[in-house]
Amino acid sequence: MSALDHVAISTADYLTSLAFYEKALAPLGIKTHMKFEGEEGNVAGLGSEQPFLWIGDGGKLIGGRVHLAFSAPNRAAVDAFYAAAIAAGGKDNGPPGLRPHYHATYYAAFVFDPDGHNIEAVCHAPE
Amino acid sequence: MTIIDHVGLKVSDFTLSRDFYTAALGALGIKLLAEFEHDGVKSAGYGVDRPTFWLGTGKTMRGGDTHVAFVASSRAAVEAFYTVALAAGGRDNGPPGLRPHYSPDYYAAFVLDPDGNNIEAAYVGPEGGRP
Repeated sequence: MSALDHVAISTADYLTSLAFYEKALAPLGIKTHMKFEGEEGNVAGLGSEQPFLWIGDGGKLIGGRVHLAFSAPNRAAVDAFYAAAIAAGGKDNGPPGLRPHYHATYYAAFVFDPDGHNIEAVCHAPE
Repeated sequence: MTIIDHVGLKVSDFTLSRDFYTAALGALGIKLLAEFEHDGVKSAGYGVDRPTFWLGTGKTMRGGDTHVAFVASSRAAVEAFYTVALAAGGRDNGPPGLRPHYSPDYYAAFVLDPDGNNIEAAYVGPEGGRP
């Protein structure tokens, strides 16, 4: 099991950086699978079989310079992550709950780490 | 297949961040698996069965605030990544070659992306690629 579910990077120039990553990662078999481009900002998802690395602009979609999402085995683990992170000095960036705009069973919590990085725990499996 | 070998974040207060991540990730079954100091800079590596997420103080990050290492399937793929990344506007941060201080057959190249993030392609295995 991988510790990471996905990673996102904010860029100063979305189109320049997306073009850079598409070219640089092509030799590794990594390509763009989906893009969301709209009022809240722009983000593109790159991966081998599914999106894993998200390249975005400074809009709301990434919520920090770097975003890391860790894999949780179940919803209780997401809840425990959130409680432990807040108790350890993290700042709330979205309590545990479903995020149905990602998909129907996307259960996640968000916390800022001591340097302000937006970190998440996510469980994709149904309860 | 995962595309990312490991990710690193630069932190301003190593002990504070190490303790924070040890607590928060412990809830997910992700453990502190490695911690060391080299040339006066500290690193902590977290994962399930091997370290895939690293915290480090400034110099560990080799020039970027964020470090992302992608999985390459062979040494030739590392070299192709480096060539294409420089042609696409990346800046050299370490040409393709062995990095035996990581492991004896750790072959990698490093490039700074347009925002200065330190990105890497890494292949760990014998020359010629995996079968």
